[in-house]
Amino acid sequence: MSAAPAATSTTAAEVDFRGVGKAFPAARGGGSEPVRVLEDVTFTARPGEIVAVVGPSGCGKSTLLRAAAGLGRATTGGVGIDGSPVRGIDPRCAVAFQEPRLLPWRSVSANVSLGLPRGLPRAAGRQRVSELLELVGLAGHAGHRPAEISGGMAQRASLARALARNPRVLLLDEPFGALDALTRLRMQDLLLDIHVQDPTTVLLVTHDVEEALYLSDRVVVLGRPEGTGPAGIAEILDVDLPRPRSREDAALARMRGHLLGLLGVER
Amino acid sequence: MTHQSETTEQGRTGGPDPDGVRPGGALENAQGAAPDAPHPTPFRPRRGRGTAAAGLGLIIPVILLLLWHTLSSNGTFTPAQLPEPAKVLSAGVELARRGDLWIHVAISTQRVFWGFLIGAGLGLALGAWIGLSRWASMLAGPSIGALRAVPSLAWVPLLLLWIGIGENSKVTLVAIGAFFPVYTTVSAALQHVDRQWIEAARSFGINGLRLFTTVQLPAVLPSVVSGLRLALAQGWLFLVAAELLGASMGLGFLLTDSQDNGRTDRLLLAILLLAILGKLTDALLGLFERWTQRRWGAVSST
Repeated sequence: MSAAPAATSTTAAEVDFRGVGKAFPAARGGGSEPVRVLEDVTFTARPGEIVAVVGPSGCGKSTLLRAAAGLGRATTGGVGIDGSPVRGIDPRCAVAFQEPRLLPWRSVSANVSLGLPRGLPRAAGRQRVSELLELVGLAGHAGHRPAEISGGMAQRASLARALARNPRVLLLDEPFGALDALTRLRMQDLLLDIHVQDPTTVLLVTHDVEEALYLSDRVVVLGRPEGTGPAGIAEILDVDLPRPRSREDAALARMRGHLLGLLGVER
Repeated sequence: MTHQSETTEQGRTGGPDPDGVRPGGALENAQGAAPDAPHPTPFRPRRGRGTAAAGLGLIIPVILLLLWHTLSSNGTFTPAQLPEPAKVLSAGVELARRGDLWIHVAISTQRVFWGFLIGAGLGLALGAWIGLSRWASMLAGPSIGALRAVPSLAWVPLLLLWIGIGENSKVTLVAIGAFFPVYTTVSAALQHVDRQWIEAARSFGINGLRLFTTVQLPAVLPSVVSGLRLALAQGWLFLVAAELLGASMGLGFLLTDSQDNGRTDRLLLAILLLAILGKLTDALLGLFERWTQRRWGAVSST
C-alpha cells in the first residue's frame, strides 16, 4: 500500500488481515462441531489510517483486534504488521480496552508509565508521561488514584497509557462504549486531536455507527451473510471526507442510513 | 477483615483516601456509570483517631478487670476458682523473681517465632507456586488440600514418634499450624487476581517477574497480610497444644503444671500472658502491613 502519505510512513504501520477466522470449541453437551464465529476476514489498514470495525454484537470484532495485538490467536489466517506476522504480544501495537483496566493502587501517572517502552531512561519516561497527561487533559490528576477520577478520566488515562508505548498501531476495543454520550463525543474529538499530532494507524472496534463514520477513513462492516453462521466482511465503506467533520454532515447521514441498513438486515 | 492504616495512605498520596476500596471495587467504581466529574472527596479521618481508638479499646478490659475483682473478692467465687487480680499479679511477680517466668515466655515465643517463620515461609512459597501456575495447581493442589483436611492436631502422635518430644516437634507443629492459613489465602488470592489487569499488563509487554511485582503481588498483598495474621494466631494455638501435650517449659506447660498443683492464679497468669503476647506479635505484623503499603502502595483491604 504505497498510497500512504509520506509524512506518516516513518512511524505508522500497515496492518494486514489475511483470511482471519476464529472458531471456539463446542460448548459442553452441545454438538461436536466447533462454533465458527469469524471467517475469512481480509483487509489492509494503510499506515496512518483510521479504520473502524462495526458489526452486530458477538460477530468477532474484538477477536480481530486481539489477533492484531497478539492477545488471542486466530484459528485460521493471520495478521501481518508491515509485512511481518504477529506472533504473541506485539511491541508495535498498543491496546486501549473497553474498561480502563487501571491498577487501583497506582496513581494515574504511575498507571500511564506502565505503557512506556522498556529500556527508556527514567527521566525520559517521566517526561513522556507528563506530556501524555497534558495531551489527554489529566495533568492536574497525575497523583490521583483510579478510584478518585471519573470513568471518562480513567478512559483518557488508559488511552495515554496506550500512547506511552509509542505504538505504530493503536488498537481501540470499544474504548468509549461504557461512557455517557457527552463524554463519548469529547473523547472522539480527543482521539482525532491525538491522531493529528501523532498519526499512527488506528483500528477502532465500535458498535456505534456514528462514531465509526465521524472518526474513520474506512468502515469495515462485519456481518453474517445467512443471518447465522460465521461472520465475514459485509462491506468496506470509504468515508471520503476530510476531518474534522461535522456530525450533521449530510453525506455522513446518508452513509449512516446505509450502514444501519446493512446491520439491520442481520437481525 | 483487617484493620486499615489510614495514616500511611494519607501520608503517601496526600490526597483523598481510597478508604476501604478493594482492588475489584475500585475498578467497578472507575468504570461504572460515573459521570465525567471527579468523585466527591471521601471523608478524611481525623488526626488522633489512633489514640482515641486505643482509649476506646481499653474500656472493655478495664470493665472486665473490675468485674473480676468484684466477683473474686465478694465471695461469689472461691479463691481456688477465681483468685483476685492482685493475687495473679503477685504470682507473676514471684515467678519473675525466680526467673521462671522469663524462661516460659522466652521459650514459647521462640517456638512460635521459628514455627511461624518456617510455616509461613513455606505457605508463601507453595501458595505462590500453586496460585501462579495452573499446572502446579492441578498437580499439587488436591494433595495439599487433602493434607489440609487432616485436623492438624492429629499429627501430634506422629510427630512425637518421628521427631521426639524435643523442640523440633513443637516448632514443627507450630509450622503446620502457620502453613495452611498462608498457603490457602495466598494461592486463592493469586488465582483471583483480575484477569483483565493481567491481560492489560501483558499487552504492554509486562510478564514474568515484572508482571508478578507490578500486578499480582500488589493485588494480593492485603490477602497475604491477613493470611499471615491468621497464621500467627494459629501458631500460638498450636504452640499451646504442643506444650500441653508434652513439655517441661513454656506457657502451655505453665497451664498444665498450674492445673496439677491447683494454682489457679498461675493458670490465669499464663492465659493473660498468652493474650498479651498474641496481641503484641499481631501488632508487629500490623507494622509490617504498613511497611508493605508504603513500599508497594497496596490498597488496604478492609
